[in-house]
Amino acid sequence: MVTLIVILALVVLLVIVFVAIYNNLVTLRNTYKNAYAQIDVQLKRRYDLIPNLVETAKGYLQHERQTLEAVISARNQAFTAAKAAAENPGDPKTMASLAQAEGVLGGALGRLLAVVEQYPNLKANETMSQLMEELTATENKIAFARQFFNDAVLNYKNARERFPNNIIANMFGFQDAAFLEATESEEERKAPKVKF
Amino acid sequence: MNFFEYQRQARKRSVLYVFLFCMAVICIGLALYTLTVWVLQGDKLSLRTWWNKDVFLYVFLGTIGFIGLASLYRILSLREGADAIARALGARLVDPSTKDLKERKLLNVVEEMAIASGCPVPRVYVMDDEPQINAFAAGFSVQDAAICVTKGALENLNRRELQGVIGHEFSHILNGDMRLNLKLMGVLFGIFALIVVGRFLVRVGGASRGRKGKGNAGVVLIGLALMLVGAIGYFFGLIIQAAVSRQREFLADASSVQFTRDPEAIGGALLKIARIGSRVEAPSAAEVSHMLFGARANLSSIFATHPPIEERIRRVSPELLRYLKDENLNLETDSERDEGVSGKMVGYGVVGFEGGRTISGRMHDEIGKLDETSLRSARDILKNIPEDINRALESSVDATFLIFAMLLDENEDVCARQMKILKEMAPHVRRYEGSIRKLDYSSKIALLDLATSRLRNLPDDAIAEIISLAKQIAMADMKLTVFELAFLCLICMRLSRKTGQAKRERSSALLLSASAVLLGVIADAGSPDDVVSAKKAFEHGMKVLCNDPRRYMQKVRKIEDVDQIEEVSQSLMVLASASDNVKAKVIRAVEECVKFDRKITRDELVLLRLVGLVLGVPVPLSFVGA
Repeated sequence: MVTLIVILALVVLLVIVFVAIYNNLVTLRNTYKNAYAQIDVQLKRRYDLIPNLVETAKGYLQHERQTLEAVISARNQAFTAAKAAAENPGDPKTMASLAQAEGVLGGALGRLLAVVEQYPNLKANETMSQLMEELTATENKIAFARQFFNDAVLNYKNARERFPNNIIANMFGFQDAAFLEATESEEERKAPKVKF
Repeated sequence: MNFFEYQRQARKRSVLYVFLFCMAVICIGLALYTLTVWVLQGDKLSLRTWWNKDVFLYVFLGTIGFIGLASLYRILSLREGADAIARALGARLVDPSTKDLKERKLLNVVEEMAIASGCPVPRVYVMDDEPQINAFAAGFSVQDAAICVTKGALENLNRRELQGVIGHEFSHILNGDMRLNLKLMGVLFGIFALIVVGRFLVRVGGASRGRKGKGNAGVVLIGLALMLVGAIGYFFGLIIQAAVSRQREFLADASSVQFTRDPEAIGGALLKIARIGSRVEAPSAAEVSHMLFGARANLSSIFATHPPIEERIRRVSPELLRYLKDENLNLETDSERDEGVSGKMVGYGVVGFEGGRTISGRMHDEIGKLDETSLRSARDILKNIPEDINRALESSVDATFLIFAMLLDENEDVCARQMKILKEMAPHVRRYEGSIRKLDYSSKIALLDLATSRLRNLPDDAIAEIISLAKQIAMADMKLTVFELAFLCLICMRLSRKTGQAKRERSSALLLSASAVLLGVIADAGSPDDVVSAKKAFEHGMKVLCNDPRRYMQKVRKIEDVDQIEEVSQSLMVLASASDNVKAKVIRAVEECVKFDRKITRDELVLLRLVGLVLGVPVPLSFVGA
C-alpha cells in the first residue's frame, strides 16, 4: 500500500515536471518566433520613412544628388526583396537577397547621415531633425529587434539542449533554432565617411 | 564577469534575501511563542518543556495569521494601477504624437528598449518639476506598466544614456520588482501592526490600572512583548528589504547592459547622476523609492534602497570610474557625444604652443581629464581649419597633398628641393601651402590626424610610398626638427596596419626600453644644446619607471637621424598597446622629464602632444600655468 502511494506520487511528480518543461519550451519557441516577426515590422517602417527623409534633404543637398539617389535606389531594391521574402518566407535564396539589399541600404543611409552632418542649415531644419531622430530610432529598433531575436534564440537553445529537457525536446520535435548573423555586406562594412 | 553572470548572481542573492525575510517573520512568531511559554511556566523553562502544542497553535499561528491579514490589507490598499502612481507623483503623460524633439526622442527610446527587452510598450510620463536626474517604472505586470522620467533626465542625458536608464527601468518591469517589493512592503506593514497593537495594549492596560487602582499587569506585559519583538522584527525587516532592493538594482543595471549592449550607456547616466544628483522632491516619492533609477535621498548604507553609485559604475563599466574621481569634470554635452566627435576632440584639446611657460601643479593629474576649456579649444581648432582644406580632406588624394604641404619648409632653397622630390605633384601641394602656413602647430597636428584617417583605407604599397616620400621631404634640408619627427611618427603610427591589432605588450624589459627611447627624445628636445642637463632630465624621468636609469643612458640621442623616426614610432606603438596603468606611469615619467628644468619648450609640447595622441590620453590646456 505504502509502496503504491510512493510510486503514484513519484509518477505524478514526474508528469508535473514533464508538463512544466514542455510548456516552458513552447513559450520560448513562440517568443523567438514572434521576435522574428518584430524585425520584419521594423524593416517595413524604415521603407516608409526613407522617401520622406530624402524629400526633405533634397532642397539642401543639391551637390549630394548621388548619395540621395543611392539611398532611394537601395530602398526600392530592399523593398522589392522584402516583398519577395514575405511571399516565400524561409526560402534561403530570397532571404539572402533581402539580407544583401538591406546591407546596401544600411550603407547608403549611413553615408547620408554622415553627409547631413556636414550641412549646418540642414541639421538646424526642424523637420529634418525630427526625421533624423525617427531614422535613428528605426535603425536602433532594427538592431534591437535582431538582438532580442538572438537573445530569445539563445534562451530557447539553452532550454532545449539541457538535460533532461533535451529528451522531451527530441520526443516532441522541438527543432534547433539558428542565430541571425549580422548581415554586413561589403557596403555596410565600409565605415561611413564622417567629416567635421 | 559579464552581464549575464551579474544577472544570475543578483537573482540568486535576492532569492536568498527573500528567504531570510520569510525567516524573520517566522522568528517573530517563534519569539512570541517562546515568551508566552516562558511566562506560563515561570522560570523553569528548558528545552524539554519548550514544546506546547496548544500554545503553539494559538500564539505562533495567530501571530503569522495576524501579520498575513495585515499584509493583505496593506497590499490591497497599495495596489494601484501604474497611472495612478505616476499621477500621484505629479507626472504628465507624454502625448504619443508629440512634436517636441526631446519628448519624441524619449518615446522612441522607450519603444527601442521595449523591443530590446521583448515587452509591450508602456505609457510614458514626464515629471516637469524635477530638475535632477531620475526615472521610475510603475505597474504590477508587463501589460500594465508606465515609465516616468524627470525633466532633469530629459534635459541632461543624451540619447545613449537615456537608453541605459530606460533599459534599467524595463528590467524592473520585466523582473516583476514592483510586485516583489509590494509584497515585502505589505509584510513589513504587518510587522509594524504588531507594534501598534502592542502599544495599544500597553496604554489600555496602564489606563485601566490608573482608574481602578489595581493593575492589569498581564495586558501591559503582552503589549510590551509585542512591541519589543515587533520592533526588533521591523528593524531587521527593513534591512532585508533594502538589501533585496539593492540586488534588484544590480540586476536592473546588468539587464540594461544586456538590452543596450553598451555599458557606457548606463555608466554615463550614473556618472551624470553622481554629478548632478538624483533627488526627487515629490512628497509621495518614498513609495516608489525602490523603483527609481537613482537613490531618492541619502540613507545610511544598510537602509539604502540603492547601492553606492561607484559600485554600480564599477560593475557596468570600470573604465568610467576614473572620471568619477574628478570633481571638476564637465561631461561632454549631448551634441558632441551624439555626433561621436568627442573621441576625436579629446586628442585635440591640447595646449597652445606658446612655449616657455613654467609648470605649476602636478601635470599628470591634469592629463587625461577633459575640461570645458580644452573641449572649447578643440572646437576652435576644428573651426579654424579653412574651407579649402576642409574640402581637401574629403578625398584621399588631396589629403595626401595636405600632408606633404604641411612638411614644406619656409626656406626657399629647401622648398625648391622639396618640390623636386614631389615632381608632378608639386603644383597640387603648392596650392595648399598658403592656407597651411597660417595654421599654428596645434591645428597642424589636429589636421594631420584627420588627414591620415582619410588614408587608412589605401592599399599597403600606396601607404609605404606616402611614408617614404614624406620622409624624403622632411629630410630635404638634411636636418630633422622635433616637429618633423613628431609629424612623421604620427604618420607612421596612424597609417600602420599593425596598430589596430597589436597585442597587449607585457614584457617589462620591452616597455622600459620603449619608454627610454621616448624619454631620450623628449630630454633632448627639452635642452637641445646641453647634453648634460638632457641626461639629468632623462634620469629624473626614468627614475619613475625603474631603479637604475643609468642603464638606458645611451638612449639620450640628438634628434637628427631618419632612423629615429622608425625607432620612436616603434616604441610608441609598444606603449600604445600597454595597459592603462603602464600608460599612466609613462605619462608621469614624461612629466618628470619635461618638468625637470622648470620650463616647457615648444618642442617639448609638440612631443607631449604626440604622446598624448598616440597613447589616447588627452593633454589639456590647463596644466600649463596659464
